[in-house]
Amino acid sequence: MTRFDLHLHSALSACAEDCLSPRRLVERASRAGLSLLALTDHNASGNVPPAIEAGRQVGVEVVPGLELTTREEVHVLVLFDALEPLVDWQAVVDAALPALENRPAVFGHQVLYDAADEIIGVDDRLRQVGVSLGLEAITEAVHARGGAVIPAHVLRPRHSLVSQLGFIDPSASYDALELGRRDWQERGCRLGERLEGFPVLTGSDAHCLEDVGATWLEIDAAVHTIGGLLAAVRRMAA
Amino acid sequence: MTVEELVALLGLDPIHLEDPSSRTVTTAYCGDLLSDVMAHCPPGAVWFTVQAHVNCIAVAEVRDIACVVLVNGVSPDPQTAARAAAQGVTLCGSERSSAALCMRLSGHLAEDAPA
Repeated sequence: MTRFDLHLHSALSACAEDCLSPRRLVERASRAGLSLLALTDHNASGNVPPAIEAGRQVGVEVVPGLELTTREEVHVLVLFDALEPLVDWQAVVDAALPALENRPAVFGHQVLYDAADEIIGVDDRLRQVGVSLGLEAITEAVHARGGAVIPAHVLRPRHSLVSQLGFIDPSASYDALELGRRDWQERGCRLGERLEGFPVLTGSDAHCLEDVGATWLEIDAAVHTIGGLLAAVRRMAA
Repeated sequence: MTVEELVALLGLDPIHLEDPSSRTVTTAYCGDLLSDVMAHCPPGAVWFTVQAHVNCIAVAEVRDIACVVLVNGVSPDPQTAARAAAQGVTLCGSERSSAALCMRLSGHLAEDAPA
């Protein structure tokens, strides 16, 4: 059995709580019985390495990832089986972000922690903004790096596949679709179901410590990577 | 006004033209959220947008849009240009902004854009 959540923010997301360190996040997730989570900060992944390290100490597998804002301003989860391709992908993201500085008074702070829970720096780059790459090009490039692409909260009226791009194209090659917690509950969704042909998931989209561990899904298999998890979800949705 | 006349008036760069001498443009619409365009763009419109994703061609088909114009020098995704040709949707580009193009167009169309 694996209890998981593929959509969590840390203090590196400007809109998340500054005290939401990677260590606090994985410790709280562990107490809630999660054994696998993805850390998905907005266009950023600097808190992933300490999350992996802290997760190892409390028995939580951390999937390396980020929540990308595409040129169309669609939010998508980009997830990898290992840290290396994420580091490589982050360089692509950084090159595609506008060269603007974050304004903490407007957007919030982007705080970097280490695994021991110390603040080690602040990311000055504006990350609450779209990159210059389109969704289809991103999907292709992430797949070429062995990663997974999961459009986030697809039915929400802002920053979603549906709000920005009008509808979900069943011929697209996304690995799954994430529904926001409320849409998931209102529709009475279950793991194993499909939407427009894509397996559906939900995630907490936690931006504060309180929300970590409050939403999760469970799958009847022991999985340790995003590849393994998506394969298991696809089998359920077959 | 025909699509052909529109292209000449606004100095558009054609990417795919479908029957430009007979297709009529009756109104205009500006919008970049495809959910909004699907809900509100009138048929027969010239639609100004920065949205170069392939879904804009499907939206143009659904709303019977006369001409899609990618503004601000945005170039279409490769799938977008291919889909426009395959589906017979007129697609053009322009280095100018939606506002600049609308001001140039003002007074030339049969109907005003909806409020």
